[in-house]
Amino acid sequence: MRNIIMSILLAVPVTAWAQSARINIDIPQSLAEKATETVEVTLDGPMLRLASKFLSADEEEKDIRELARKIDGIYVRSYEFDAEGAYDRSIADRIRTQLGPEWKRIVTVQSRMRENVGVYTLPRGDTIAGLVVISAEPRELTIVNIVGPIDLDRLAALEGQFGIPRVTKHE
Amino acid sequence: MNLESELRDVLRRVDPPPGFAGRVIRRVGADFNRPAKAGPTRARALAAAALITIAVGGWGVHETLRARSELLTAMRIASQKVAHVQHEVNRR
Repeated sequence: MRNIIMSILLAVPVTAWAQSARINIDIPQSLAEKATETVEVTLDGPMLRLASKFLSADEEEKDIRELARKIDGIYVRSYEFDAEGAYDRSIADRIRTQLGPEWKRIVTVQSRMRENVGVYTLPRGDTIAGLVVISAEPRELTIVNIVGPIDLDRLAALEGQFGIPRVTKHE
Repeated sequence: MNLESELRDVLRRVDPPPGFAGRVIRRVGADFNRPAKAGPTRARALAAAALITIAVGGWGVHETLRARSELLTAMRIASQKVAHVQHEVNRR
């Protein structure tokens, strides 16, 4: 009985942690229908853990596995369009309005290419309990939500892996 | 190999030939007092059960591999976006 009570008490803060960092990134289906390329990923719970176990131990996937093992969920919506202005930019604003005062905006990049990228984190002590990236470009809309502890430097360092060259854009 | 389509083929509903129900009823009536024994029906049932088990297992592997691919894609997109922002901040 004591074990059950302890399990419940331990589970509650973890659940609360996970819930507070999760935002609603549901995008209207009509947007996906207009897009030339669509990526919609919803991975959490047992499936996320199972998927991370299937990553290999080689150099390329080891870092990804290490990061994935610690997080509780990863949610991505990314749409690419043929033409500029194919999507309603207020969608990004609606996502942004969900981020309460506990969320901290790390940085916003606004470029001459009318690109608008915002990175928001949910601090918990010395760690980050959640991450939201909202990237609104003329022909692309991408929303990323990671729930759970995430190391931003290690996440950024993954770029250039996956067997593809670095794709960071330069104006 | 397409386990889902194989499973669909195996589980597809097939109408019996005309007169099948009548023959079954007559046969059941005739065999009613005979002792039960293992026969081709049991073997078929075991084979079907084995096939379903394999198919479900195959589906699980397929789902796991799909989730692995999605995880790699999601991490790739997340890392690209964060790295891009870091690069822009460092450049300015």
